[in-house]
Amino acid sequence: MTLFAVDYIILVLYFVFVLGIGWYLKRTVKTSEDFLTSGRSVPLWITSLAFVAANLGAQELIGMCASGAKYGIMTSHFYWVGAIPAMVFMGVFMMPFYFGSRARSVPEYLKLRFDEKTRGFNAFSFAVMTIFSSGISMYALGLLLQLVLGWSFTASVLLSAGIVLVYTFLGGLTSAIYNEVLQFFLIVLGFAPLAYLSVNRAGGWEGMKARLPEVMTSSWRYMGDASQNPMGVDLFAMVAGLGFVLSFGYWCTNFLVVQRALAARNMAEGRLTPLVGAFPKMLLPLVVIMPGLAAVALSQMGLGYDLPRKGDGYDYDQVLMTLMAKFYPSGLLGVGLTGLMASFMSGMAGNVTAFNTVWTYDIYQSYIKKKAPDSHYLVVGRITTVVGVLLSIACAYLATLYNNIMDLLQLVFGFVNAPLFATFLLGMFWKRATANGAFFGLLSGTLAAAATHGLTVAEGKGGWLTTVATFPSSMAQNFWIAIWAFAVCFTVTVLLSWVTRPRPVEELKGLVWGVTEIPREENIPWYEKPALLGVIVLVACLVLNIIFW
Amino acid sequence: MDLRKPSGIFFTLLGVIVAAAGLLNPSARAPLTDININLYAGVGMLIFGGLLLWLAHRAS
Repeated sequence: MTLFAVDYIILVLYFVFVLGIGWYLKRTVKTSEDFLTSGRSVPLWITSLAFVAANLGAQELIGMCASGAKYGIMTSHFYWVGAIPAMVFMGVFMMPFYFGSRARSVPEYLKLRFDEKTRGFNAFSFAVMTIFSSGISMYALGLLLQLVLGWSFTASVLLSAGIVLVYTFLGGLTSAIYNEVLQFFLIVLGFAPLAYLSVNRAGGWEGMKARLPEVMTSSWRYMGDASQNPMGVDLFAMVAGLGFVLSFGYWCTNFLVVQRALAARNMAEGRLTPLVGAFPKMLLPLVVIMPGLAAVALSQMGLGYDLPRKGDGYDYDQVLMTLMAKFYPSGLLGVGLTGLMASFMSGMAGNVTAFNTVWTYDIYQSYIKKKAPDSHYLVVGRITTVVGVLLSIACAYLATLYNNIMDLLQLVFGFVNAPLFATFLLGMFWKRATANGAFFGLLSGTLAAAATHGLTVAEGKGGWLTTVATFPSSMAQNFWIAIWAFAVCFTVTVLLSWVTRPRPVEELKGLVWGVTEIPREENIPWYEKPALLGVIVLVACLVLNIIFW
Repeated sequence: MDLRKPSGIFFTLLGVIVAAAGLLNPSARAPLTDININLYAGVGMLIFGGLLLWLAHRAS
């Protein structure tokens, strides 16, 4: 793949704009809350697009296209079974408690609802996870640019991380969020033409159906038995593991995305953020997964396109780039490449800003220096930005030791997020749940995740304790890890809560269902009612599932 | 800051550059495309940028 002057001009133009937005927003940062939480000032359309964009990192873009080529349209389950229902649940049921509690972060909610030790546990594990995620993302990008364009791994990692550092350092969360929206537009405009051209060339959906094995073009038909579908996942693991535990855990309790909704101006807009975001999110598979399927069809048409190879197998992570090389002339190629950079930056900035807030408020302010003037925490927040970026770069080099990005990420989410959703579910909807119940539930859930990984083997991974079960794929193993982690956390929390003393109900105001005021919805137009909007989203999502059945 | 303004300017500029690439080099084709995709995509971005600017202008 060769780039020309026009492609570099586009890339530079993009850099100028993201840095410019950061520079302009510098003046809005006066307190630590401006820097770390946007001072609850961001309009709805921006929070909802940022909510989607913060998750749309480079590993998502590359990984979804890779999964499309490897597994087919089943990959859409990550969206239409996973993300969308979870986003609806978040907006309709969970945001009232996040907003009602006035917590600045997810760990802080845990502190208010339960106690210090649960917050500490979550804050530390989350901080590690964000650094890990942004490192993996950086690694994916650096490796790809090295393979395809021959750019130096170190140079592309340092340049892209440096730009993220500058604009998040200047404008804080507001700058990250505003840029995420610009990045979101760029990703869609940069990759939608690729989806259109590749699918069109492969004969449209009907042409692809004729060329690909049926199992790749049916999202549900082969879900009955793990041995029948290429993911090696059965219906229960898919719906309970991915659809319920992992996705609800990610979208409802991962501070990276929750932080975007918390930046909204008020509770009403905070609730609408994931619901409005669900509409573009729902359509993303057509842009990010379809090209992967088209690539497989194209490789069988004798057009001179072959799936990228590595050793004896295919290198699916390179599918996206090889398609760009075949369909984009210089010019649009620059836009596509810039879109890839943009996706990387939106993912990384999301991680950095979430890490910032959790470190400054939930670790530094809680354990290291409790009472200091606000200006002190603003400085700490800024320093943390620099440290977070440096640690991510270190993780990027560490990640060179592993290869399958998506699977690794799912594994990490399985350990950290899966038990957490049980804690939140009980914390928000069961007044009886106690602090000790929550903490030991969370702890045993996380241990259960690790134990499941240690006791089972899939694709040669896991089984470091002994082998009691074997899964047909790493994905199935990850889903089952999540299911066990959730079940153990849920059970232990309930049992311990019954034998420990509950908090008086007055103390739970704004934190739990039944003692939190939910805004009345009589005088607002229908399109601003969360429950109704949620139903519309779910029906649309159901229709998509049926179309690609 | 009204975000529609800077992003409107960005996509207008981007559209101009990409469409210009399509106009100046109308025979440029990637191996598997047979249309002047730079021109069409460029015009699309130009329209999107214009729309954002128009919305920002209308609001102010």
